[in-house]
Amino acid sequence: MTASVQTPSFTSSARPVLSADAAMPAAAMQVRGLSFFYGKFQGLNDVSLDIARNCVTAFIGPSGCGKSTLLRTFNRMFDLYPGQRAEGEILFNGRNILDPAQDVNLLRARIGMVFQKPTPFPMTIYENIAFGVRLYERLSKAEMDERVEWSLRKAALWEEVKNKLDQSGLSLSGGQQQRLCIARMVAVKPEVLLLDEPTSALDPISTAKIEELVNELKSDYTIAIVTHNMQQAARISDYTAYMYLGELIEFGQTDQIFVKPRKKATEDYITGRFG
Amino acid sequence: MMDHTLKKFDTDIDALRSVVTTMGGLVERQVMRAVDAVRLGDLGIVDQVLADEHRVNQLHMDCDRRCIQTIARQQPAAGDLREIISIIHTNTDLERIGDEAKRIAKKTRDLRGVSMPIDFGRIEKMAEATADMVRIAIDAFVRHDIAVAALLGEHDLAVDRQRDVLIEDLTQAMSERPEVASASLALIFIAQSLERVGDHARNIAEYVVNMVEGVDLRHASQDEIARISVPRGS
Repeated sequence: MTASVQTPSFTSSARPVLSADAAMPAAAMQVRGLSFFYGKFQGLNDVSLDIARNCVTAFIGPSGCGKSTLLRTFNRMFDLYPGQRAEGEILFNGRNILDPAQDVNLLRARIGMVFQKPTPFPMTIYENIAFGVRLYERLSKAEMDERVEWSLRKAALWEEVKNKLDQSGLSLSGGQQQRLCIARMVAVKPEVLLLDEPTSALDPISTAKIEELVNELKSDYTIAIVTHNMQQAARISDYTAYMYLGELIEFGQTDQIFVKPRKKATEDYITGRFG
Repeated sequence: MMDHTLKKFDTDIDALRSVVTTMGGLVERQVMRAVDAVRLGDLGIVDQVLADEHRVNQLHMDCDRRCIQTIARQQPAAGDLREIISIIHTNTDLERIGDEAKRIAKKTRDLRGVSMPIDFGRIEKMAEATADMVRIAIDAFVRHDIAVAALLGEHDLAVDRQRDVLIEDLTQAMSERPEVASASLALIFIAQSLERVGDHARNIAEYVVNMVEGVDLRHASQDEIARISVPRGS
């Protein structure tokens, strides 16, 4: 059994797109009528929203609400798992990435992802970066050296590793490993960065470094982050989406969501009155 | 509203609300006592007002400390955050009402045994109106009643008019009877203090709107306040 993608014709009779506000920057991605199924179980139900370009969009909600599921549709990560399928549309650069004709490897170069636990490859720090780049580009040694340094600088890791690039990526601390993963993601020059609870396994100092990094990277990239840490969403995101039971309950500017949410369900969740 | 999952958060916020109502009761009493002290020339009542003022100051600082601790420990958001910020603002206004009561009470010495240039009942009436505003504002805070902002806006305008007329009459009394100039001046200060008490009460009612609706009515016109401070569904 293989993962499949269904793209039924999207009709305007579906739910309206939850737009954060009229002044929202141009959308890097447009999600329209997205539903997702784990076999017979529906994990997402008719989700529509825009991911603003060069902004940080945070997804919050209790476990099982569908926020990671949604993030994993953005680069078709679910294709790796049999029996999982998506319906609806995710428009990226004018194309529906759920289209079966979409080149998934190319998509994942344009839309990179970092996971909860740091996942460096069991190879040197240098090779952790160069490995992915070689899949898409043929660079000279000098060009590759430059790319490795550039991406490690982007990930605010260069100064800490520049004298030990030949050491194993696994020798780094958890926080450094996570920044290495971000450098690896950035090295292939994506447009969108997907961060799935990137700091949940890190100490507060490493977490602060990642948060600062996210804040710096958004001038060059569009970032979507899933986090269980509501204060983190409040600190670093421009837009916040609250999800519950596979539904997008509320989507708005982070300032609005954390000061005066429109929906009582959102208020109950962010004020700790949930469950 | 549903309780917090973490019960201590509810306990902390309840304690903060309780400080507001305690301070509200104290300052309302202070205002009435201060005017009684002047009317009766009773320095004992002045001491009571000053003792209450000390207590109000302590509660003000205690409440600020608890608000800071609650923000630091619970990291409140949305309605909880707005309520705590409103409590901080409200208690500052209540403390200032206490200051005004102290200023009024301190005029007792100046006015003891002096013949009043106007009917003192007019001052008492203004004091009752402003103390009433304080009580209504605190009730609105407890009941999360946003409609009171518009009501107290109107009351405040009425108190302003009372103050204006009093000052006009007292100024005239001073020009006609120089021997009552000192007493008239003291009563003008009292009228000014009472008018400020009304302002603080109105401020508190406006904080309630921000707490409930997330709309800041400070510096809004009376028309804007009347438009916004309408309960939902009415």
